[in-house]
Parts: sequence; C-alpha cells; structure tokens
Amino acid sequence: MDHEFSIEDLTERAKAVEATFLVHPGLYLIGSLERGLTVYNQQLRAHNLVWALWELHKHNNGEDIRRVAIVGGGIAGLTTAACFLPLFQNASITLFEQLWDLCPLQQGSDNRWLHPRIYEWPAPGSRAPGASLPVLNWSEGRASDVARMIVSEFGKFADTFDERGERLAVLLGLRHFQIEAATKRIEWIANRTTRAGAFFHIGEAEGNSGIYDIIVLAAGFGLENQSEDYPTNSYWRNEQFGQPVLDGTRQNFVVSGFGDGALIELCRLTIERFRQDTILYEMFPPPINLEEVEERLTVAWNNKGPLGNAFEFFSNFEEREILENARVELSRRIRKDTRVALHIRGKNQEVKRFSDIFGPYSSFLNRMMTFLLFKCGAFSLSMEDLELAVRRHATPRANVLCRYGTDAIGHLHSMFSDIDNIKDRLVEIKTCQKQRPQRLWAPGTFPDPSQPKG
Amino acid sequence: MEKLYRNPEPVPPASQLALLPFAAAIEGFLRNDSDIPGLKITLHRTMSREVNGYLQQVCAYLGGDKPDWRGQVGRLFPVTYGIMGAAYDTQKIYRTKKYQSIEELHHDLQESMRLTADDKKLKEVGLSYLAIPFLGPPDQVVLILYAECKEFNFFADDRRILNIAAMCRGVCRLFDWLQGEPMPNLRNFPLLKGRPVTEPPTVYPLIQEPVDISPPRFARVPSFNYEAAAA
Repeated sequence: MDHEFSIEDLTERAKAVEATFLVHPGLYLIGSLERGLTVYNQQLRAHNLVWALWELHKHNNGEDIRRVAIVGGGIAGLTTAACFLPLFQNASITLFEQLWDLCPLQQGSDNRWLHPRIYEWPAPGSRAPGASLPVLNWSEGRASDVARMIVSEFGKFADTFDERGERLAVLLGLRHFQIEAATKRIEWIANRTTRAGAFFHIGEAEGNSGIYDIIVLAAGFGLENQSEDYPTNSYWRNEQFGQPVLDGTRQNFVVSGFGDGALIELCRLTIERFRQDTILYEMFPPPINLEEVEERLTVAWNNKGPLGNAFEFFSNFEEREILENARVELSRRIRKDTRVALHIRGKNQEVKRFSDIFGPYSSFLNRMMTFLLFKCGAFSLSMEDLELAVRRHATPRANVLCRYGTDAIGHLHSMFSDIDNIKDRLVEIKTCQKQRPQRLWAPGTFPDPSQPKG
Repeated sequence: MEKLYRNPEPVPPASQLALLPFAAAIEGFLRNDSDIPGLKITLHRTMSREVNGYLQQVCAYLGGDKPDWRGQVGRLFPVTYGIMGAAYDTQKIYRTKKYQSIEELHHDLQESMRLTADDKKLKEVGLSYLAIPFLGPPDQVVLILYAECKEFNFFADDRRILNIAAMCRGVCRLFDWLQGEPMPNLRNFPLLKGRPVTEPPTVYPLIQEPVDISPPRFARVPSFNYEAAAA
C-alpha cells in the first residue's frame, strides 16, 4: 500500500484518497481512466471515495453536502449511490443513466463470466468467489447473475436507507446530458422514475437542470471502440461463438486486439468447453497443489515487477514443469471446429513482435493463457492490415471480432460544456494511476441493511 | 474504537455454515438441558484487509432465546480486543479464574472495567468468559472460540475446559482432512496474513487467566475462509 494511503490518521488518509478522485472542486471521477478496470475494482473505488468524503465532512454530519449527482447507472454508479445513502442522510441523490435499465451492459449477459478478483491471479486468495464488500456484495457468476445480485442489493439499500423514497431519484433514458464543471450544473432530458424494490417504473419525460454540491462520474467502461469496417457487438452481448459449430464445418475467425476482451475471445474460440470459472482447476488438476503454483508464480512475478513483459517471464520461468503441465492439459482440448487468427497490429501499428502484446495491457492470467495457447499452436498470428488479415484467413465478416477497449476520455469529453476546465486534470489522472483498487475505507464505515437495527 | 468498528463486513455464508453447527454443539454441551443465564457463543477468525490484520466474528452468537444468523456477524476487532486479544497474543486458552465468592469477583470485575475504561454497567457484563485459540501453521491464530455467561465460576471447571478443547481438536482434524481433499464447489480460499492492528488491550486484567491446557491446532489450515465456488 502506498504510504499516503497507509497512514493511521484517518483524516489525512481521507484527504489523500479524495485527492485521487478529484477532477475539479466538487467533481469526482471513479475509475474510467485507470488501467485494469474491473467491476470489483470500480466498487472498491466507490467505497473509498464516499468514505473519504464522509470522513472529511462528518464533523457537521455532512450538512454541506445536500445535493449529489451520480453519472452512470452501472455497477460503479449504483455502488456509489448505495454508499452515499446511509452516510449522508441529509443529501438527496440523483442517479443519471443513459439507457433504460440499471446495469444495462450486464443485464441478460449470459455468455460472460464475472469474478471479483481473478484478474489479480496468481495473488493469494484471488480465486475466492466472493467480493466480500460491505455495499452491494456479490459472488462470481454469469454477468447477468451478478447484475441481478447487484440491483437486488441496491433495492435493499434504497428500502432501508431511503424508506420514504424522498432522497433517491433515478433518471433513465438520457437524450441530452451536459455538465458544466465550473458551476457544477447539470442539464438533461430524461425520464424520471419511481422505484418498486429493485425495479424502476418509467415516469414523465422532463428537460431540466440543477446545481449539485457533488458530482461523481461513474460512467465506468462505457461502450467499446468500433472498427469502422468490422463493427462487433459489445463484449457484453450474447452470441454463440463459445458453442460448438452445429453444421459440421470448421469456421475461420479473426480476433483483433490484445486487451482482456480480445484474449478472452481467443480462449473461447480455441479451447474446447472453455469456462473462465473452471479453467485454472482444469489446467492445474490434483495432485498439483494450485496454491503452491500461485505462490511460486507470485514470488517470481513480483521480482520481475508488475509492468514487466510476461512473454519473457513465461519463457524463462525456472519452474518449467508448472507451465509445461498446463500446456499439456490445454493441448488436449484445442477446438476442432474453429481456426483462429489473432490480429495484433495495434492502434498505431506499434506491435512488431508477438511478445510486444505481453506488456501490462491485459491480466496476468489472460497473458498466461495466450502464451500457453501459442505454445500449443492453437492460433495463427497477424500483424498486417486488418482487411488483409481477414482476406488471407478467408474469414466471414460476422466472424471478425474487434476488441479495442473503450474510449473513456472521448466519452468523458462528450459530457462537458467546458471541457477545457478539466482536460489537463483528466490527463493527469490517467497518467498518475493513483486510484488504487484497495480497501482504504475505515473498517465498519458502511451499515449492512440486512443487520438488525440497533 | 466502538464507533470505528461499528458495522460488519461480509463473511462468506459457507464459512458461517461451517462453524455454526460446531458452536451449536458447544452450546448444547454447555447447556446440558439446564438454563445457563446469558450464555453466548461464537467464533472469530483472523483476517486481513489489505495489509492490516483483524479479528472478525465469523458466525452469529448462539445461546440466546432467539438466534439470528445475521446478528453481528462480520464485526471487525483489533487483535487486542477483550479476552480474545489475550488468547491471540499468548496463543493460550484464557478464561475467568475461580473465585471464592461472587463479591470478590464483582470487586475485581469492577476494578478491571475501570482499568480498561469499560463504561458498561456491572449487571450488563458476563461473570464468566472463555477464549480458545485455534492455532495453525506456521504458529498463528486461525480461529478463536469465544463464550461468556452470567453463571458464577462457570469456566473455572478444568474438566469443562478439557472437554471443550477436545471438541475443538476434533474440528481441527476435520478441517485438516478437508484442506487436503476439498469437497466439490466448496473450498477454503487463503487469507493473507496481515500486520496485526492493535489498540490498548481490553482484557479484564484481574479476573482472566491463561489455562494450562494445550490449545487446539490445525496441521494444514493457515486461515479460515470457506466459500462456495462455481468450480
């Protein structure tokens, strides 16, 4: 833990934490510009920010924070709102969501698996399925299951800490949304809702504006960048690529990109019966002790440093049999109904060698899977122009999957009428990467709505 | 301190369920068909939160008339808290010592409360306490069984402590087996060892004593965090 966050004086720690989220006085950004954005990390940040604000304002019971706006009705936004509700009991909270439901990306997403900490693997305990969060807790599952858990928990928080339904307003279906950072004024056209448990009934449309004491940008991932020539459905939409091909043919695919989204597609398309929840146990079956494997990898990787190149690391890893055993397990289950090309040119054609993609662009686990699949010869590689790659691999347009991540800066810029006021600070936040996904709030800060009162 | 730690943080339901039946068995044994006033039993685990180590209540209190499985589960404490803190620090079983009269106990209890700045009323606090640390490799506290009641000299009976310690050793053997051969979809996911968070000790100094009985010991369980997993 960084020194400024480990300090015992809670007020000083809160000041340090608050500063990492601050974009402009009263305007805060959760995640979005941080590397390794995950649902769980965004929730940690939401807890940290709201705790820090409470710690700095509790001397007057938060009286100076009366109006809070939260931008984004995804998991980060809901967690932020649920953290505010019990602490800032004098505040009204307005949640803005562009789409027509909460957690819209993950609702109904049955293809994608969410796990709180698997992208921290091989860190000890990273396989634990529970998030163990005091606010909007959840356990691993399909994205749709996780969305259900989160929204249901959100309903409980709202029922318990806004019993009369007067403090929380949820606005859905934004058709216009603009923030003026200098005045903390928001202008919108959207539909106000009424809440029934975890559901929100749509009410009258309204065009309106308001000035807020605090604005929290919790827009999270946003939607992905698209290739103009090969538009691909959002990562979160359901499709059938993970299922065996039913017409007996062998299909060609091109996966373009080298972030976690692309590498997960690579795994799904090359590994038979691939499941993110079981793959580690299958690659390291008994009598291999998975915890020992994790310990050895962790020690060796920590010596290398988290920003190191994982290709060199895997190639030179001294305990060769650990990875060799996993490679043998994988080689037995390469999909027979697909032929996959991994296209890794990079946005500015910066990728010159396969090993270039093993920098800190994806999780350790996905890099290890890609390395092992490479060793199995499970895919071909392309660093040429995407159009050429598609033609050379005779890939139908529908089988070209471009996973280029999101344009978080562009998304943020589009929300502001006075972007010049905050542009430099956004760049600074992106450069510094200070919003540590760690539990920095004081233990016992957030009440549990399921605990008996008193 | 109370204010800082007033709300719980989650404990996986599988961890709670793994220990509740044991706490219930201890309660049944202690009660032995008679009423033990104020009997409360629970277990705590050592856990880390980033770099800091705490004690955390793993399951609800058993012993009352209306058990509530949610009740106070997940509360965090510094490792110096109460009689548990003494058991954690010394890795020994701690209990309330034997008194010749209740007046003597009241006197020492009041003086202990004054020394530890405990502002509860005398009638609100227990008269007998017990804390049994479960040790694990490499020589660290994994769990602590906590019990209290308002029966005079209740835990001063060595035989009673020997029996409870024997039951605890049975639990250690069970979880050692399960550590080697976990059940499908139910695993003990490791918790990191944290830097123990300490505050001035709040064990009642005059009435509690270490017991010369070996504490239960896991051979293979370094931390306790059972969770139900998809795989």
